[in-house]
Amino acid sequence: MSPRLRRHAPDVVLSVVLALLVLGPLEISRGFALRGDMVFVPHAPWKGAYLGLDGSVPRSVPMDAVIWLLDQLAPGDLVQKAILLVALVVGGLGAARMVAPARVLPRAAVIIAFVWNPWVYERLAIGQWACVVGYALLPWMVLASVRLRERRPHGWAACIVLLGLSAVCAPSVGLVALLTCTAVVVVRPRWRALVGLWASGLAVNLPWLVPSLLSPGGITASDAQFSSFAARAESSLGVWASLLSLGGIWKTSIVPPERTMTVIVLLSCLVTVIALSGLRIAVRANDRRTILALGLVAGVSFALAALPTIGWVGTGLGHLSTVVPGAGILRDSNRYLAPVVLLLLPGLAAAVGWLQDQIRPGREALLSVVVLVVLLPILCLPSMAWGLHGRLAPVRYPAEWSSVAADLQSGKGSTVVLPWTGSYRGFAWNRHQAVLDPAPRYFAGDVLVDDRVFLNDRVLPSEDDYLKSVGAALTSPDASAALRALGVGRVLVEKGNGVDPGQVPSGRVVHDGPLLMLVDLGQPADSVRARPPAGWVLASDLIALLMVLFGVALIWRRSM
Amino acid sequence: MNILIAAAVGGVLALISLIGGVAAYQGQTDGVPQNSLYNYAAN
Repeated sequence: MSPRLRRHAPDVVLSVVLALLVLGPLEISRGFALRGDMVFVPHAPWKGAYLGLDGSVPRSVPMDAVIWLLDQLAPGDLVQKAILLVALVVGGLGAARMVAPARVLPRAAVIIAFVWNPWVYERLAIGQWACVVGYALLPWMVLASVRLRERRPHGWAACIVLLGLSAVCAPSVGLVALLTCTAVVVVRPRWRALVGLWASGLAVNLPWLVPSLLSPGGITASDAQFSSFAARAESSLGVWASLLSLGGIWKTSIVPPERTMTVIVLLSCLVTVIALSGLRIAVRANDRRTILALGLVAGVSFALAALPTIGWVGTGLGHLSTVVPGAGILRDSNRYLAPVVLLLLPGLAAAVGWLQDQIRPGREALLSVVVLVVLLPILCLPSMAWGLHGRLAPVRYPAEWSSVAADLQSGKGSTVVLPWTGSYRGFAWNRHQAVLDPAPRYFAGDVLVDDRVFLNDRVLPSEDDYLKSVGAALTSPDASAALRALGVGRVLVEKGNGVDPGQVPSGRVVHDGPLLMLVDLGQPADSVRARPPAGWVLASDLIALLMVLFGVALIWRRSM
Repeated sequence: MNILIAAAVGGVLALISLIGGVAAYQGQTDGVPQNSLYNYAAN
C-alpha cells in the first residue's frame, strides 16, 4: 500500500462506515426512500419540465434532467442509493482533506462532525437530498477556491466544475457555493479572479435562472413564506441554541426526539464551543486567510438562517419577496446554515489535536476524553443511526402504479392529480410519510399537482397562474368542460388521501383500482399554459454544460 | 489520575447515552408540540 493510500485509508473507511450507518436499511435492500421532497421513481419518462420548458416553477431544474439521465443507466432506486452514499462519503473525505495535516483522531472528529449532525439529519428527514449533495461539495469548494486564490494549478477549473455541480443540485445550493467561493477568494482580493468567478457562477446557474425569469406567467410569491419557514426552537433553550448546534428546521414534526431535550441541545452546543475555542490554535497553525474567509461565510450563513426568526425581519423579508423577484429563494433559512460547519472543522481538528498532545505518562486515560469529544456528535444524535431510525427504510411502488403508467403512455392533454390540496401525500404503502407527490415524475405527459403548501395555521398560495386556473376549474359547476378548455384530458385520483368521490369530475373511468382511479374527460383543447421561449432555455443549458465540460477538460489536460 | 479521568469520562458517556438513547428510542419530547405541517401526512 502506498504511503498516500495508507494515510487516507482511515478517512475512507470511517466515511463509508458513517454513510452506511446513516443510510442503513436503504443501502441493504431494494426500494425507494420516499420522504418529503425526496422522490425517485423506477424509470422517469422524459419531460420538458426537467429543463424548465413547460412553464412551471423550475424548483428542481436541472437536477431532474440529470436524474433522468442516470435513470437510463440504472433503476431509480439504485440511483438514489448510489447518490446518497457517494454524497456522504465524498463529504466526509472533503472535511478530512480540509484539515489534511492533522492526525487520525482530529480527522476522524471532523468527518464525524461533518456527516453526523442535526443539519444533515433534518435535511435528509425533510427529503432535501440535493441540499445534502451540495453540502458534501462545500469542503471541496473551499479547497478549490484556495487553489484559485493562491494561483495553484486546477484552481479555476475545479471552481467552475464545483460551481456547476452545486447549481445542478438546487438554486439555493448554487448560491451557497458561490458565496463560499467568493469569501475564500476575497480575503486576498484579486478582482479579475472575482469577476471571472461571478461570471462563471452566473453562467452555470442559468439553467434555472432563465426559465424563472422568462416564464410568461411569472412566479407569484407569498408574503408569509419567510415567517412560515423560519428556523424554530427545538428545545426550551430557544432557536439560537438550536442554530448554534446546527439544528432548528422549521418543520417540527421531523425533529429527532432527543433534540427536543434541553440537555442534549446544550451538549451539541458544546461541540460548537470546542470547535470555536480550537480556532485560536488553528489560526496559529494553519492558513490564517482561509480561516478568516470561513468565518466570513459562517457569519453570513448564520445571519441568513437566524434573521428571519426575528418577527419583524421575517415579515419584512416576506413583503420584500412579493416585490423583488427571486427573493423567495432565501426562505427556509435553516438551509443556509450549512457553511457554518466549514468554520467548525479546522477548530475542531485543532482542539482534538491539542487534547491529544496533553496525553503524557500517568495521564494516558486522557485518550478517553479525546475519544469522547470525537464521538460527541454521534452521542448527541443517536436517532441518525440506521436510516434516521428507520425513517429512510425503503418501500416499493405498488404494481397498480405501473399499470396506470401504461394507460397514461398515450398523450391526450394534461393529467390533473387529485386531491387538489397541496403537493404532499401520505400513502399507506409509504407508511403515511409526507412525500412530494411522485406522480409528475412517475407518469408520462404533463401531470399537474396543486402547488399550494398546506401548513397547520395557513395555506401558502400557488406560485403558478396556470395551476390556479386548474384549481378554479375543479370547483366550477362543469369541472370536466372547464378542465378540457385548459388542455386537461384526464384526472388521476390518488385514493386514501381524502378525495371525496363527489369531487371527481365526470368522465369515462379508464382504471379503478384500490389505490388509483383514472378518469378520461374527453378530447381536451390545446394547452393554454404559457411557456418560456425554448430557444433561450436550451441555450442557457448549453452554456452551463459547456462551462462544466470546459472545467473538466482543463483538469483532465493538466493531469495528463 | 488515570482512574479519575476514566471514571469521569465513563460517567459522562453513560449519562449522554442514557438520555439521548432513551429519548431517541421512545420518541420522547420535552414539551415542544409535534405538529404535522402537511395536511394529510402527519410524518
